[in-house]
Amino acid sequence: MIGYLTLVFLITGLLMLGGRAVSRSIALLAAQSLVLSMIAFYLGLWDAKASWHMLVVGGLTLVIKVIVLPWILYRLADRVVKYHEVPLSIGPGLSMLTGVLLVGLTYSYVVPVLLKEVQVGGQMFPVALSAVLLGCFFMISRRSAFNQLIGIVMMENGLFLCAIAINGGMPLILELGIFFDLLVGVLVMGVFTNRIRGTFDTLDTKVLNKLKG
Amino acid sequence: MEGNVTALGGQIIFLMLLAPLINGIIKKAKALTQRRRGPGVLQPYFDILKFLKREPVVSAHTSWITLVTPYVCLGASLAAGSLIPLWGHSAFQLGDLIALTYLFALAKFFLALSALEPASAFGGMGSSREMMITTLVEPVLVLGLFGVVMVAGTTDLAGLAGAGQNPAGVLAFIGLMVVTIAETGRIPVDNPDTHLELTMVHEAMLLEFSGRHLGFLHWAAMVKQTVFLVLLTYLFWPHPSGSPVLQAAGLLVGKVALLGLLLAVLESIMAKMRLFKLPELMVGGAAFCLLAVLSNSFL
Repeated sequence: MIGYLTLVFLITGLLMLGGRAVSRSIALLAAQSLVLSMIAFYLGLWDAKASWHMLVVGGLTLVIKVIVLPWILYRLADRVVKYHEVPLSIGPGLSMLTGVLLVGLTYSYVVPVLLKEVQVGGQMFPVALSAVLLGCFFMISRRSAFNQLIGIVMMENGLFLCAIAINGGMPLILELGIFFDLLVGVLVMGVFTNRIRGTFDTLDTKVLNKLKG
Repeated sequence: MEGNVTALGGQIIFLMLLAPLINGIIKKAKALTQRRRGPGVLQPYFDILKFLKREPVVSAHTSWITLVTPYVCLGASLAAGSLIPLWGHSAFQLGDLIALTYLFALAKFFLALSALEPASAFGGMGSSREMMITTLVEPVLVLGLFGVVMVAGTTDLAGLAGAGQNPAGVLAFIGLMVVTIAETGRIPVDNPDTHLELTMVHEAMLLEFSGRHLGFLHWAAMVKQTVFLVLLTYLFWPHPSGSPVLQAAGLLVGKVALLGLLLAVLESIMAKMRLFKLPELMVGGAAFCLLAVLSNSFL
């Protein structure tokens, strides 16, 4: 069960790389977070070392990352995104293939060679690491400041799964702090993209290297 | 030996009879999702019967290729279908998964050639488009099948029943679904319902055929679609081996119809893609198949 859930987590990440539309990226991000909260709930309820705090984490993920964040992002996209489809530096197909290569790299090199001291069995750790890489690549391949926002949240999802995979989640107070950070971070970056849009009249990162007073 | 011959013949006849029904179900489901009433489920049978009664008209400039193509297409599709051991035992050791792939390629090759022969404006266009799509689809198909084959460790179809029932199989299934859509000429790739000259692919190749020959080609396309769906159910969702033939057949029809419904829904919610955007779709499918192969080799 947990294997299939982590797989769906990976698939949503790859599908995000394969699309142009902003609304699709946000919907897939919400789906990915939903899978994340399902993993947390599953571990909280049926795992051998079940602890109630996984349930809290799952609930928080559900409320903040599945409902609140996508809602904020949709509102923001309505306001700042000029074209429904964002400019890409490489095509969606190629970007998806690169994503697969990154996943392959994680499976074949990063986990068994670079991180061999981290003794974590199962699928979850490599999938989480590849999700971080995929989020990073998502930010690189999209030339829109708005999508970099989405990429950040995607990377955060990956890191979160990493924490769950390594030692069953972080202390609860830390998790709360992270959620708060994420929420505030997205709001601040939202304001920031709004300002970029106001100043440059575009979110294309290609033109952001020009100075403007 | 005797039993095997009956099983093989029975399977071929079963596939021939099932194919129009599946096509009818898909058409009906598509019509219903679009809030049309649509033709009856049995309509494809009547269409084929009507075609078979008519004399074919063949251009005087064509050679034997045009004459044999309808039979090669139907024969190759049926041969491919007969390789799948549906009733739990392999009829003969006729060929494996690779042979199945290339039987379909053979049918395609002849169809593309015969569309070129009468030198009509649209036939050549259809052939060139079909060949372009084939070059995109075939690697994805083979990769996806390898994703399944690597688990079972054999390309022999008898050992592959349910080989896709694992996390890597999910990835391979998504990739192979994309392939099925492309191979059966369904919507993001080709539209089976129109003869719009700007977009048609498969229909463009059939333009010069008529009567009996056209009927056989339509039938071959339906058989091919059914064989693809049967192959998917065989790899990812087989019936328990050793169940009685009638029960197995009923289950199979149900599952294939269910997959057909999935195709119909997918076709209804998507828009036809531009031809030069197809590589994006196929690379997406390839990414999933590649991931299936990767996760098999590292886990």
